[in-house]
Amino acid sequence: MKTGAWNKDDPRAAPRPATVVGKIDKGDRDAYIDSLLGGLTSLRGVTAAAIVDADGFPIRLRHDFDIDEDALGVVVQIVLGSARQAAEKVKQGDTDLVLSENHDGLVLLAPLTKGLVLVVMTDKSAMLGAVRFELKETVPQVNALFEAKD
Amino acid sequence: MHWLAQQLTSLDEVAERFVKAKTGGDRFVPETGDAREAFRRALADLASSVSKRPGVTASFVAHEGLVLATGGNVPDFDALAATAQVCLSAGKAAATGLSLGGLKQMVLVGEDHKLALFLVGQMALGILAPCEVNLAAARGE
Repeated sequence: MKTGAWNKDDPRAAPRPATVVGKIDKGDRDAYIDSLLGGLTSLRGVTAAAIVDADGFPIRLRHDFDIDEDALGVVVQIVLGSARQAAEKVKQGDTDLVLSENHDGLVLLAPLTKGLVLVVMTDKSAMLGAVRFELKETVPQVNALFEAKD
Repeated sequence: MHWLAQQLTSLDEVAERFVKAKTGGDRFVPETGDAREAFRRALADLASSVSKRPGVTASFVAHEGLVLATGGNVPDFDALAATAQVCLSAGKAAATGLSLGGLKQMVLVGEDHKLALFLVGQMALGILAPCEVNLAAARGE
């Protein structure tokens, strides 16, 4: 399995202080974020989890298979942009989650703080309820990490 | 206490630890991920172990009408999870209107099969069995 900078099987690389984090250094933040993405990719059928910045560039990525990182950015821009416009048209407020159910899998997008987007890709074996539940629980945690002071 | 009640009690304890781990408000709490994973595993174990009870065809855990964990084999768990959501929502409203107290379980009985639904916090546990199966026995009573 390809991973980002952090190997979830290596406990030395996964700091787990037993306190609420209000202030954090960049290394710890990256490890925590990788741990949260690892929680998503550990679900059945999840093939990739990534955080993409406002310009469509993946800043953290965990994946099982080769993935076209440029395509990931394009997916975010197109799908999330369309969803936001649609929500605006029907006056439903901000977009919290976008699901694209495709022939061979799912793409779920969740806007984060600071213009970032959490992207989860799955194959057909994924259980939507499990992925959606984990995604919804993960979003506030990721936001808290990006909002925490350096 | 019968087998299923014991399982649900254990699950409640795991769920409580998960809820407690989330008390950091808007701040990041490292332990939340572990507690959430434990909760998820407990749900998957429950669905799997329930489906192996005598007479049970399949079981599932659903959240907001979507499948979270499954055990056994049926053609369409998605439909079962969606049905569970619809039934439990109606059941909750009825229980409130009739002052029955918080809804705990419902059973739908068809000519061929029956579906028992249990509320476990924000999750729904469903058990599908042929209608001649005594679910009390399947629950370990």
